[in-house]
Amino acid sequence: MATLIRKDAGEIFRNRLSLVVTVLIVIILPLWFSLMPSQVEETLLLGVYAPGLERIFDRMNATDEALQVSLYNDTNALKVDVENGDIMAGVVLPADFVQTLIRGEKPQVDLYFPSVVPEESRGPIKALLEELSFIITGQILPVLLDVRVVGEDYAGRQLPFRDQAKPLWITLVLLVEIVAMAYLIIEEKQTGAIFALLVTPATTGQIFAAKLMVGTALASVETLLVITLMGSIAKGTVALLINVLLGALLATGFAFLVATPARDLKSSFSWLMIPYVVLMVPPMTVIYPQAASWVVKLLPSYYLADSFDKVLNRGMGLAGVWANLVILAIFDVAIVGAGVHVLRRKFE
Amino acid sequence: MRLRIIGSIMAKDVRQGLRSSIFIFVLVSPFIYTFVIGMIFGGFGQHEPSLGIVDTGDSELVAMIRNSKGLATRIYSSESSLISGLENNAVDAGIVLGADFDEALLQGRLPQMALRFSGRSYASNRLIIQNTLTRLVREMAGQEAPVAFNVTVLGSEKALPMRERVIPFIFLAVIMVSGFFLTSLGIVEEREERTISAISVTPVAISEFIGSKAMLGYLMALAATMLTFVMNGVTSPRYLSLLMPFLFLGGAFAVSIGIIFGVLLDNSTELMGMAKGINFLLFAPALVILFPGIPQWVAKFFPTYYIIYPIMQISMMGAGWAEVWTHFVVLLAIVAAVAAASLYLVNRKKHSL
Amino acid sequence: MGASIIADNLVFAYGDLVAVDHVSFQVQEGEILGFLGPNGAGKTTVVKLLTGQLKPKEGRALVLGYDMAREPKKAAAKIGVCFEEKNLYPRMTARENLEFFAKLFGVKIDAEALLRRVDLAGKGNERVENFSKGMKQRLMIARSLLNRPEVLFLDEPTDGLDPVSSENIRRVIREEQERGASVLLTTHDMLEADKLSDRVAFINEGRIVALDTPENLKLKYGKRSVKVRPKGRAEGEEVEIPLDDPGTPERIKKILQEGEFDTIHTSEATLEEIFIKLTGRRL
Repeated sequence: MATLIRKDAGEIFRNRLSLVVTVLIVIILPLWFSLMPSQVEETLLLGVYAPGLERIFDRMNATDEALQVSLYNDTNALKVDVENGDIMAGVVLPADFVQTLIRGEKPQVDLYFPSVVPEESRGPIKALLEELSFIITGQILPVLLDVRVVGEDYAGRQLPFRDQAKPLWITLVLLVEIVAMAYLIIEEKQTGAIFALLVTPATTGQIFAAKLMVGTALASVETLLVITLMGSIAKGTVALLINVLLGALLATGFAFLVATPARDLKSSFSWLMIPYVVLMVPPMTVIYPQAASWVVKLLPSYYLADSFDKVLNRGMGLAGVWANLVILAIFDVAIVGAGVHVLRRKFE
Repeated sequence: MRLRIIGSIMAKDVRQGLRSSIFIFVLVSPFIYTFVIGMIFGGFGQHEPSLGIVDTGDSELVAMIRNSKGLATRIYSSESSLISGLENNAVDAGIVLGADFDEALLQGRLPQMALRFSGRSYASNRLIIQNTLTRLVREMAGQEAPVAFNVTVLGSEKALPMRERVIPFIFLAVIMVSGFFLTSLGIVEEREERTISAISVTPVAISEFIGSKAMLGYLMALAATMLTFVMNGVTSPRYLSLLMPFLFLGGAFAVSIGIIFGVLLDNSTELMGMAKGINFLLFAPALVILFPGIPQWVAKFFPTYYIIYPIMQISMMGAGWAEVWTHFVVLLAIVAAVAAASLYLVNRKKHSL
Repeated sequence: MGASIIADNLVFAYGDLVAVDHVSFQVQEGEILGFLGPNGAGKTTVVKLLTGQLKPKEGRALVLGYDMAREPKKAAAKIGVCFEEKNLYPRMTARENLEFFAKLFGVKIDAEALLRRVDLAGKGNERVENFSKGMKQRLMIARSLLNRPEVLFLDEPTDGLDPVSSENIRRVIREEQERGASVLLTTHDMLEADKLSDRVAFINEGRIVALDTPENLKLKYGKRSVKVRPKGRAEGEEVEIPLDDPGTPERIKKILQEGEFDTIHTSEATLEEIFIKLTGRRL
């Protein structure tokens, strides 16, 4: 077994394709991650020119975290900032704003938007300002609004997109190993080397067990390396390690399944794309839950990505993800079992 | 160069290619990239605020909310399903409207409106949702806004939602898959199967052989890109006429790179490995453009920037020739250099191909 | 009749390894020259030089009067090459492979007739990737004939073929010769070279060590002898009596008179024995 394992490990690093795939992923993904924005802008920035009414807007700044009002003394400066996109909207109140209101007339307020704010977003901002005008004029809201937050409130500490997408990136790393491992097996088939192995004292069980170990170990190490380079290794270590291991087993099992029908490396292309694309859908719905349907929960990568999300983004430990891990383990047994079975049938 | 010979080799490549999954993938790549990347990236970045609604009384407010711009809505059948959606951040917020909400509102009886926010919704979205709702409720109750707004838009740079920012990425992907990958694979496969030796002892010149691979890759790149334009709504004759020079040069760039790799690499395994690596270099500018948080000047170091940036400016921002002619000149120089390099390599290696 | 192929002092090296070392020979019109040598002797390299795939470092390779280093494409339409390695398009059918190459040569062919000639009748619509090694080899030969070449380069043409198919291919080669084609046949199969070739060239380590008709080579380098198997001895335990020995006639007379033998026959040297004698190596 040790000989077989050494051989397979060596082959991976001698196979240029597997090596390139492996090395590039480990370098490029963390690099890409580091380049993406690490902050989330949750605040609406408004600029206001309202001579004599500054106290009203100061109070707004004090009470509402989501709104930041910058007061301007000069309309030109306000317009420049609007045009540059430094603020989302600029409001210029006329000098006789209050007097016009007292007279029972509607004052004309100039509202400036930068062209980079999409038209769809202008309506809600205008609605916000209209609501402010109702409040200023003392008109009470005709409903009793009961506002609550469901679940843990992340306001002020939202995850930037790059972190929300971590389950996606990490699952991608694991699934890419399907490609690398499958290529290795296909190449052995193509060159006939696997048949040479089969006529040695090594049993088919030993041959495939060695591949399973090497594939799983490589995928695990690679994934942990990527997670480390993303700065996330300290979180929920035990749960994370188990999830990575189960994911690596899953990838290797799938590699066995797709490598079996492929005749050569070129014809393997379509075989590889199918599971790859299908398995990448659930991780995306972890980021975009609005796109999720019950179907994604039938795929093993859902539990993999969901566990990464819970551990890395929501600080959960083993207790929070054990159910996912159990389901993933069941999938692993099925996929790996099926993969080994079809490979053995092919070569025995 | 005899067109008859080039045509024969191209016809053979198409016939053989239709029996290859990779060739089929290249053929359908415009659809795949448009659909998959559009689906993936369509929701990237800050999406518009979303509101879940449970309406037990067929309220008019629901129609008003749905007609207002800037707010995505989703109807839930029960409060429990709404809460579940909020917990999963499927929607930013949710409201539950009682059976007699409309009647109570119109009668001035101050009906209750439960407004729930997902813990993971952005504060700015909460503000927008809450104020949009209260504005609509006031309107329904007959309250008129005490101010009138004169709206002016300043600046000329257009706001691009992510769904549109990703379109140049799709174009580049299609050009590269068809132009670069198809050309290089066509050459490498023939070297791998040693059929290039068989062709070398026929009257076919190496220039005709390489020319046929390049021509097929080029035509496929142009056809696939035009199809992608149509699929992504870029059909205005004005835009298309401005875009064509960049398409022609972009295709030439892709094919030249394809020839270089086809001549340098010995087998398709190496090519696929290299393709994965070079893809990052080729697509880096597209990714920089996709995420404005990354310093945009970084993209200018990559040659493909001079393909996709003008495409984006023309098709998305309505730019004219005056805004993109410098990019055209740079791209022309890049293509000339790469094409010269590919010709040099073919000439140098023709006996060992 | 002029020389269709002229190799004039050809030299070629792969890096430091001299693969072809001042090789000179000619093949006349309608002649079959067998190139006999072990693996790595330089046979295929010589063929590549003569077909324009490689440029010689020194010397000239002329085919039908054209210098193959300078103007290979001028001769290309008139030559046919069967390579040692199988270089067919695997995802195309046998017919498609032939028709494609016919288009490159600018000739019209009857693919089915060609396939019949090499015993592949009815296999025209099968993909080459499903062919056996022998079927691929026969298709390679068919492809080398489709332009009715004046010069044929056949590199191990019966490689992978069973005895019946091999004999069929040898028949096809003879037919081509009768048509007037010159044939350069490289092989390490002594029997094939002996059966087919008008002349045979032995090549070893890039050099031609002998070039003559098989009969002359045997006469010149072979041992003339009589082999006698005494009664009761097993096959292989024969006594060899050189014919040129002065005492041989008397010895044979005595053996015949005594009758104490099971078999008696004359023995000719094989080309392999001659090759071993000349080079110290086996084919």
